[in-house]
Amino acid sequence: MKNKKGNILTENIVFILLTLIFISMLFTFITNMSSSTHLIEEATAKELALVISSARPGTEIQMNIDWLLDKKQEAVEDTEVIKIEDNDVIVKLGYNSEYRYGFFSDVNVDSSIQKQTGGTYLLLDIN
Amino acid sequence: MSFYWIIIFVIISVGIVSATILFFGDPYDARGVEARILSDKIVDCLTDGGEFDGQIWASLEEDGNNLQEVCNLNFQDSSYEKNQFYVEIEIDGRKVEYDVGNSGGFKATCDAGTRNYPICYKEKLFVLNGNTHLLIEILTSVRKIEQNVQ
Repeated sequence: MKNKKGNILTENIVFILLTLIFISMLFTFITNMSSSTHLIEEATAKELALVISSARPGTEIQMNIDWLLDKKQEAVEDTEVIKIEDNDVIVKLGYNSEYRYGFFSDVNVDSSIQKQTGGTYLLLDIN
Repeated sequence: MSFYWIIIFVIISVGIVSATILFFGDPYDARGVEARILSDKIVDCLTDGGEFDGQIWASLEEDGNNLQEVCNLNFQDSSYEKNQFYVEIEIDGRKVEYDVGNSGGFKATCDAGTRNYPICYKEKLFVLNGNTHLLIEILTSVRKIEQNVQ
């Protein structure tokens, strides 16, 4: 009788522990998927391309990108994270990964990444 | 722990993992917004201070494929070989199309209802033309399926 009670308790504890491990693994998986760098590269590139497409010549855009620099790999330089080439916005957070999306305005975009007192900023001069 | 609990865990985990991959694996579809922005750009091109610009319209009526030069647009995209945009402008029953290399394929799929076809945006607006007003109807379509649809 005593052993049977001990076994039930042990079984329940093991079951609870395994369930907690299972739930934490699932939670970790979901969190990693939602914050994957590829998603962030894609969303950022598309949002910037749409902003540039809708902007009129003479527009200057200043955007704090500290949150983006926190996500990049160390092998990627700060100045490489966002680039404008021809009509493409290129966002690069990993050494072997980048995402590019085109904008359709016929404008020249001067882009630079500068460290200022409030953080690191992306400066876009659309002309 | 019984065998049935293990099966339940497996079923739940497969379900959650599949749903997560399906949800986060799908690209963001920016084409609807892009088509709307393109339409706004064309409205800006055709109007000057809220008034209809007849000279711009005349240039487009000569050849609709002049749209890029006339309205300061650049549809070249390094990710694609073919053009990914279609524009149709109708004013007073007169129609102009920008359809370089597409042979009308975009417009035919506007109401297809699935994301595997170009996304279309239609806009109608009145603009002043001297003492009268004109109805402008603009249809813009963006393809870019490879970057916006899984």
